[in-house]
Amino acid sequence: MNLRLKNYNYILPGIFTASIILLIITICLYGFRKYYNLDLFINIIDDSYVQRLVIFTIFQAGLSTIVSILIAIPFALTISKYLKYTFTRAILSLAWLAFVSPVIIGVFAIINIHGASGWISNISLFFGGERLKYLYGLNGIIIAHIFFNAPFAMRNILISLNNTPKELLKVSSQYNFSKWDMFRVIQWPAIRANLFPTAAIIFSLCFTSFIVVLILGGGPKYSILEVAIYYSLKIEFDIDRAVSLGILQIFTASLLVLIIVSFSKKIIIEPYTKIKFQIISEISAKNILLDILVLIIAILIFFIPIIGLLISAITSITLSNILNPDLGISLFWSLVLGMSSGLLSLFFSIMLLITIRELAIAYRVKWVGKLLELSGNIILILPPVLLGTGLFLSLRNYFNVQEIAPIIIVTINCLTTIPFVLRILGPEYLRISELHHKLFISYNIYGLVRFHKYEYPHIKQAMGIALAVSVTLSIGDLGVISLFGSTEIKTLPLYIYQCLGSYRMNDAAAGIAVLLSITLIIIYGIEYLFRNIDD
Amino acid sequence: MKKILLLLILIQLIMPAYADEGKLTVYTYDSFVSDWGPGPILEEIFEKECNCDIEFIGLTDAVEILSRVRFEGENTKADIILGLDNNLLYEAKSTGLFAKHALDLSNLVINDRFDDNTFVPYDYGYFSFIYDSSKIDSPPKSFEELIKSDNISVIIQDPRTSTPGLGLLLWIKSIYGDESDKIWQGLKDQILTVTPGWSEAYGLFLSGESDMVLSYTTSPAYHIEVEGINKYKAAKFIEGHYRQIEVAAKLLNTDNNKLADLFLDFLISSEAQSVLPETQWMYPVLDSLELLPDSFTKLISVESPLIIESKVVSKNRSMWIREWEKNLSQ
Repeated sequence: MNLRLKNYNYILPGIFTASIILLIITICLYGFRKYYNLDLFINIIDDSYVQRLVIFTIFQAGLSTIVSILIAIPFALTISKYLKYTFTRAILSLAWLAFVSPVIIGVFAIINIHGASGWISNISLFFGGERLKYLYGLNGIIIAHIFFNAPFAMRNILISLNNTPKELLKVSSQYNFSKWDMFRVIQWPAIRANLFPTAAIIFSLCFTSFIVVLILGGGPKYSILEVAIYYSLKIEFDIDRAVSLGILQIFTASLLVLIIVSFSKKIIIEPYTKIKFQIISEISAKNILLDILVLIIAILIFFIPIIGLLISAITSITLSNILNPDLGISLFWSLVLGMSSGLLSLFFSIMLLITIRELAIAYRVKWVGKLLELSGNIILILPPVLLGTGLFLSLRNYFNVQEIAPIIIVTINCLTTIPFVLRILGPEYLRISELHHKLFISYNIYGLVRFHKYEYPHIKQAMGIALAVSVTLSIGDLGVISLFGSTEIKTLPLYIYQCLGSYRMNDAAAGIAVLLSITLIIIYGIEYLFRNIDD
Repeated sequence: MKKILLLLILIQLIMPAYADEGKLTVYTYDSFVSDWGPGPILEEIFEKECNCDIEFIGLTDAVEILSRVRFEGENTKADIILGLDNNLLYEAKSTGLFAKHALDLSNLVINDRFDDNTFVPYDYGYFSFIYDSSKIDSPPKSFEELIKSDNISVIIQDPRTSTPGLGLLLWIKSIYGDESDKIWQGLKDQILTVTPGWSEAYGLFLSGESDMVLSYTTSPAYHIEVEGINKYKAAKFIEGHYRQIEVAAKLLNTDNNKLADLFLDFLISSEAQSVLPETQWMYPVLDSLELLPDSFTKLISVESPLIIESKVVSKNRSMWIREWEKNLSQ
């Protein structure tokens, strides 16, 4: 039996997808072709002001990533023990809400709790304390980044914990492992492979986190490269400088992302083991108390802010705010554009994964697979403000940008969500394929049959989560839509901003309530449709 | 019904654009074209008069409008841009993309700075700090007083990303010149945060985050007129208030020269001007009390408007913003 039987049909989908992604990115970069200026770039690197910016950008992104991960690990370990309870799973789905909501909503949610007039400050006032202003500054930036990103890390760690082989767990209970040994010997190796790529994604998100740094940073003391790019491009109209700063940002971010990813190690899986995460049996009374405490803290950090915002949004609106026809139109466009880019993103990610899997298993050339994966993730390190403008510059000579706006919006949102889909679905898919590879080869099972009958049932749940995340992330997008939206096309985030910009706080609240509700419905709906029947 | 509406929108999107003849494209900012903005009303009135089609394209903000036409250059689709403010004029003019108009602006309230015949002012306002009078009895009456009131927190906007943010910087500059540093350093500890745009700042202020927010003297009119709430007031500063003037202009390369002139003329007609106070919450440029709703009579008056010439702004902006960053970073 030739286990390395090559099926070239598996190579094409990934190459095709990667080419499309690279083509689009090239189109964006092409828009700036007249503005690359090496001398200026050297000047900029030499500028002490820029150097300070770079250092702070790296510092805040690095710190945010480390803290998010450190918080996510204990939460994930605790939650993993209680996964069979509906309550725990419901809370886990809620955790996505913080991750996929538009940044401005998340920021409002945090201010609602931590702000000077937030719940915590009011509690302090109630007990005769002071009004608390700890939020604005570095604290606020880190709090917000934890709030947005730790849930993502937590979900990915949970998926990895599923990979812990049953035998190992048996051994651990036989040898009476301590908690630390459990973590060191069994859980850490299981989560490590997926943890660092996840950290890399979080790092790139924090690296360009424009709105969080501006609103919660408290002033220009905490500023990042993205702000400087925006200022050069939009206010000064110094495109050369914006492009040079952009290149600097791309270089720095990619270098650091590569360093982070290099820490990950391939997990060794025992072949032919039907792996399913086992609930560790001995949950003692003492442990339960500690676990409950951890769960309560998790709920306080991740769920109270967003639920608090939802409640305060709902209570401040009237029927007329909800019945506004514009709100309906925005909801319609949000759903159409979000669903399209979400499905497209899932489709392209699977195409990439099929080839990555084939390259890894049949060809044993992992580096090509790594390159493919990289192409899926590259969008994350491009400065968002340059991405949109570059695309606009390239396309405007050939198309009426306003007319093809829906296509552009769907494409860019699809590209931006591919990294998340790859992270959520990838490890699960590769593991299943590797396990059954010999079987597929010997029974000559391939193509759609292989995917639909043998792989899909195993990755169904992960696919559901990936789809829910990509759809809701696209719905929450504001960046692309604000550049390419026209009078006819309006999405919920845009609607919310328009209301805020016209003093209409209650209409904005209605928009927020609708957006959060629809996000929740989509997350629960899709997860329900893709649930494992035997669960 | 709604389905039919959506279908119509879809069809309109898919259909190729009909001939540009008799169609006027106006680049403006989002809130101008929103449901509550003046866009839809002006469109209805003007289309009846001109028997033409007018298309508003709503961009993020004033900065984006200029940036968009600069990128598009001579190929721009826009016939008119609407929504630049006085601080951006020098930049806009030096692009050479805009055409002179043939309008007589002498009957407008503000015509002194517009003798170059390129930009047509359509509304204006004054920057000021808004406060909640149920919480603050005696608001500061000057920047000097403001920086002494340590218990008063303020939210401002970032001059690197927003026009009101730049407005505050210029307001202080126009009063204190080279001494501006001391005001900023005094204000530093009272600044709760600096937001990227006006919307976030004002939203946070209304939710009770800060005691004051940088906005316009006309902001309270919205709360009086629409919500029936009288507690929000603008703090009157004896040093004067910086003026923001919003303007429109015709593109040099427009195919619809006549129509564009007609629109600019319409913009300063009493018909259009009467729409602006209650949609833009700014003053109309036509000096007629009849145009103003009651709520505007309850606002503070500004006797000494401050303004810095846009050429000076353009030349010094980078330097001033560096200063600002330095003052607030120490």
